[in-house]
Amino acid sequence: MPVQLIFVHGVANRRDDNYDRNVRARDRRFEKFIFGPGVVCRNPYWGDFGANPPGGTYLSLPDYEDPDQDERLAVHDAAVHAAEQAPSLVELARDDFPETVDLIFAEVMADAETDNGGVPDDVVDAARWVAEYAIHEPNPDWVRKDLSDEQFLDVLMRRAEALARHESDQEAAEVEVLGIGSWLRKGAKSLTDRIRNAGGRLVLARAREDLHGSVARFIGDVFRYLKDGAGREDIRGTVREALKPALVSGNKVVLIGHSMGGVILADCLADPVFRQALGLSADRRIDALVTVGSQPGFFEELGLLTGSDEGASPLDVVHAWLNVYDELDALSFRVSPLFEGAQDLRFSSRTGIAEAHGAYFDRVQFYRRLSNRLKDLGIPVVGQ
Amino acid sequence: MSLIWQRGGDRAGTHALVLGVGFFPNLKGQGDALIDELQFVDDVTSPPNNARAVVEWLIEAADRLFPPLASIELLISETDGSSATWPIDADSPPERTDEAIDKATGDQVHQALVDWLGRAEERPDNVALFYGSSHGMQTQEHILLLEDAGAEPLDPWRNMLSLNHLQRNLYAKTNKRSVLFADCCRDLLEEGRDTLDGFTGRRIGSITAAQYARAKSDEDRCVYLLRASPFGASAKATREGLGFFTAALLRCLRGSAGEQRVGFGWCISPETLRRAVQEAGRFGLNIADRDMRPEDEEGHWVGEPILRLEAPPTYPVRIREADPADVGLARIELTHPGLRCHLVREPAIEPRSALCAWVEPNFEPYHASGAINGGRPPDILLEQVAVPVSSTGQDVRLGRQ
Repeated sequence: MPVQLIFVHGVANRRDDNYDRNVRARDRRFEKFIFGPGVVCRNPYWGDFGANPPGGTYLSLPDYEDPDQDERLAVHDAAVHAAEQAPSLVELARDDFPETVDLIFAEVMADAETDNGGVPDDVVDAARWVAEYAIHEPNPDWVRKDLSDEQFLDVLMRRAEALARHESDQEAAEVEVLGIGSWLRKGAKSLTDRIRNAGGRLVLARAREDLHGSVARFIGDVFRYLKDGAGREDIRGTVREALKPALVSGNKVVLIGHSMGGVILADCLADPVFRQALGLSADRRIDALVTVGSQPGFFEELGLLTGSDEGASPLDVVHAWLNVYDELDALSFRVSPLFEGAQDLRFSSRTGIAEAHGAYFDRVQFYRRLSNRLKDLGIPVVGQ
Repeated sequence: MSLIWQRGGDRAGTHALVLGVGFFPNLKGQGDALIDELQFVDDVTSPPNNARAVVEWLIEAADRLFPPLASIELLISETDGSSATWPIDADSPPERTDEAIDKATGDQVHQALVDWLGRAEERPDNVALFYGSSHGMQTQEHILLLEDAGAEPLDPWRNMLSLNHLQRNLYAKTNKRSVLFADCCRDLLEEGRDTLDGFTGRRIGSITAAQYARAKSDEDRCVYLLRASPFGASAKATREGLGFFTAALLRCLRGSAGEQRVGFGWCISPETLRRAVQEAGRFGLNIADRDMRPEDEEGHWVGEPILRLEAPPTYPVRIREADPADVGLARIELTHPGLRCHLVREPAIEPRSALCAWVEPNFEPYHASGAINGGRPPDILLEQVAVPVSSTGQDVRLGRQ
């Protein structure tokens, strides 16, 4: 039975080539890593109803193209990172093996999608095996050895493949391949290049300009939704229309909201009018709500969600609520202290503070772990 | 030098060229001009071993080859970059005074190709036999990397060999029959597919389309190529051991690809090799590799076989539990009362190996059976299956009764 997936995006998404490419890539990953070929993905787009300043930018943002336009008050600019030697893959792996292999495969997937428009099956297989291996063996002895990046990748793939084939490490160690594993090396090279370009640090903070613009768009979209009026109603309507056919289908329905998308979903599902329009009740519930890098807990604490005063909860009409947060993601919050029965899941993206908020959907481990959780909830997933 | 073995005489002969390349010093991140996939290439241990094992077999089978072995050119690039050796014996050419053999660099392979073809082309009834093992890749052509691949910045493809080119151009040679074996990957390279249009590896001629068409329609002209894996798939090997393909190929050439032909007795012809190698690998050697699917080109082979066998062949049989949950739990037996064959695999969780055996062909079938917790009476009986072994291998899964 196919799963109906509704994904509600976060703030600062505007429809352009990049948005469409991200949606396609994410849909493919949900299909390949979690739900399988039959999944129906719906991506209600509400960016047009968000905060859209004339000309596309806020006049109040500093002009980073012309930093001298305003009188300089600071004594000096912040020092850039001093260049230092990038750590090798095995050094990163000693620090955190599962996250290191996840980072490599995030690069591999990104490269594969960029180059070919889709992720080849062998890459997907390998990503699954490696994710499984990292869970099975989170701190393997062999990373203590002094290995080149090439050797690290070689051992990693052999052991992961062996685990997938239920072989012992010993058997895996005895196999060599007479070919050149291009995509894996390419992904690893992209990762090490990024680390080097960032001055040898794994924390890859983007330029302040990007961050500043993002924060402005974030705040703009949030206030646009929270302000009672046309913007909020349009956004709710967009989500409602996406949900209707999913509910009518009779299939399992999974709602995923990223960032503000999670707030929107939680807010809608706690709203009696929204529930009534879709016929949702304690007897007719959504199968799973997943909020990722999101703030419904924080907004509930501030009393900003619909039904906050009446003690309404999305869990009134949802069987299970999983909330994924990352300690590095400053825009992600817990929900379990505010909503009884909701479950918080910590995911470590191990990127920089500015990147963490968008990193969840790049990571194979994220899909892998979410798949396991959804499986526990009785949602059909691949590889059962 | 690379000519390690030679027997003279005014008669048809099989002339072999054997390459094993395990060392790639120029593919360690030095060359930005190379495609991404070639930036970093690991050194590998099995190709030099493969080459030595093939040469050992050639010498062992020298007088049983059709026509008999006449020469071997051997080039090896050892994994650690050291010089390979081959002992000097009575069949070494007189000019060979040093046990060291040439490395498989572009120039040395080119010279070996020239010498090999020079001898093979002396008579139309000679056979040219090529064996190559190295890293491989598949672009428009199936390419075998030589030791100094990537060493020429202005022509990064120079020190490579195209197996398709070799096969095509062998059709234009004086000797009418050639056999090529290649143990290397055929991984597809996305970038390589675009940039290798002007592939300029080492060449042995430039056959035209018309010549090729004419040669292929010549009934007694055959150029048989057997590769380790199909298009886009990897060839794998046992580290410090042999390639899966080469191990299975040698097992076949030592008997399990045999067939009976009038006038030749038990012998081997190329037409039967592909399936036999696959079955030998999967069933006899129990290689659990989904890419263990050798692929041949030009299965057509006329005239005499390539090898006479000393004894009847044995064929591979693999018996295992059908249900994955039962794997390793049963006591499995393979019996043949007439041949007094009684083979047993006791239950074993690790390693989870099947009962793998090489058995003689017989008109009466063998019998496979199994039991889990096989005391008396056994708790769970598996099916009893008749296993016919007449000319091919068998893979048998025993379900519960």
